[in-house]
Amino acid sequence: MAMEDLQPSPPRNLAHAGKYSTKTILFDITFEILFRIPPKSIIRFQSVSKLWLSIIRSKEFVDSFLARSKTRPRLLFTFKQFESPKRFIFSTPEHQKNDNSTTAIAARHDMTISGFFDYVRSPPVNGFVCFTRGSSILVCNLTTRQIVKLPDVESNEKDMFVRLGYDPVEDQYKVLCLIMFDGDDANQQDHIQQKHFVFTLSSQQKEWRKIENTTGDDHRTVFGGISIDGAIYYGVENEVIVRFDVRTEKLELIQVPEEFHITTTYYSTLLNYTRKLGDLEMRLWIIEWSKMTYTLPSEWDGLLGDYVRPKSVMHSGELNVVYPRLQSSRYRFGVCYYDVKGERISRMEIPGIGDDYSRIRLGIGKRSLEILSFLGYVENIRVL
Amino acid sequence: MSSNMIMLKSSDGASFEIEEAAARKSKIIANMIEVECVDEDKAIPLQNVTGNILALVIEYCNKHIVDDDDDVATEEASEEEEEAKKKKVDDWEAEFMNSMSLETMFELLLAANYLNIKSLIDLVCQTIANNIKDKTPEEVRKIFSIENDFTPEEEEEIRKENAWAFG
Repeated sequence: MAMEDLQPSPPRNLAHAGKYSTKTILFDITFEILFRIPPKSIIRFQSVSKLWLSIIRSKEFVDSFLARSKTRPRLLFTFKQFESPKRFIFSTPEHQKNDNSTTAIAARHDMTISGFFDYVRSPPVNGFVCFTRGSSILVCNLTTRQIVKLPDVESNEKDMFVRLGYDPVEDQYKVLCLIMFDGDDANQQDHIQQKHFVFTLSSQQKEWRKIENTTGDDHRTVFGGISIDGAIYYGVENEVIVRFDVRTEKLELIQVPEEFHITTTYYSTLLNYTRKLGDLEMRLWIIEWSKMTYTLPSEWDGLLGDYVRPKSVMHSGELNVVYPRLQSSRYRFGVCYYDVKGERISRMEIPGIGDDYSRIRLGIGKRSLEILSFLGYVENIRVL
Repeated sequence: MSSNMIMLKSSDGASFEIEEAAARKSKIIANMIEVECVDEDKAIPLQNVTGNILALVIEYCNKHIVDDDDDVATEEASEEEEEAKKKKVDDWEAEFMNSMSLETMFELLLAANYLNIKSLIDLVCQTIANNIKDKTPEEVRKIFSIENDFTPEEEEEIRKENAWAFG
């Protein structure tokens, strides 16, 4: 119904619409209506009244909104132009298993971050993404566009490894930062030390806390990194994964059976397969300490070329693979999905990112750009 | 199926006859029937619902009780049939809501809330949400007759923090 049609009837206070209206009913009903509104409108409607603001900021509303978002996860894409300080962030609904394989859903431009934030360090955690440049670290909520700049870590130009995690028990977000540096004895080449720091978001103390590495092992290379069920996992050696418990802030080593061959390359991916930890090369290893191996079908090569990067596994149990470059505008941008159980491949085109029109609008020119993608991005209106 | 009829009486004294199965869409009425609070000869008084709104509630319940029966009868219906049926209900609901002023919607929502009819609450809330989602805060205040209780400074601060959402 067009809103104009409603104008002739004089607006009446909702509280007077029924004689039995009370504050509770008004709260409940406003909650129910707001719950069905897209996030951008919800954020705008915080300025309607104090009641609306208090509903939108209430833990109950924020939690319900997140719970519903989790049932409709999105696929996140981000890329930047070399010379430009802008990083573009787009998203589109994740592929549904029953979708027709040719379904094309236009990407939505969620946000542009300015200021040379080059690296997206963590896969999104409940809608929050961690960006870094040098020793600067940002945590950003792409739904509310809130940006929290963390104090700089004293990294002294050393290698830094930063990951975001979530503790569902205390309902807290924390950033884990590892700094790798040569030990006291500079002549000893292998004498590498790590320092571990933790920052708790939304806490009174706006500072990094140093934590003890009780595993007794220091490593030069750290790779991967994913947050699952209150822990951050990352790989340190061919057969070792570190588990950081976000709540207790304890580190422990997980020995991976030899035959899993976790790769330590830049592109290797620890992934969340039905909430179990796995690692992916061109073969998919599913690690639940049982030997399940899937070999990707040979069609993948023809479909995407040998440059393809397997990314992650979606809520539907499908494996998502993207070509990690936004090619020149002659190619249509898209992603592929492999149904591991059904051994079926589908490709979804994503208009609105790489075509000429979008490129002109974003001012990114015609060249090929690196594009990062993340699965399981959910909208969250939580304010940190 | 049972075709027991029960009587409902609105706050302004209008009486409505409704199939028990349809009336059970309301959890409140269903509970009353369970605990045998319903006297067959007497109408159930609904002091918070006026006649014109109760008529809408009954129209909705009657429509949806038929759908529920169909579900049981055609358990093996094909996917297309299911889809066609769902579309028919959606179309009916769209038409039903389309004929209403926003003021009526609020009254219907309060009645659905009072009678505890979940699916009707969902339908009305979604319709109102669709109506207001593209509005400005000023327009929303006008529609809901909400008084702006922020100081200009407070309002400015919220707007400044979220300037992008006002674009």
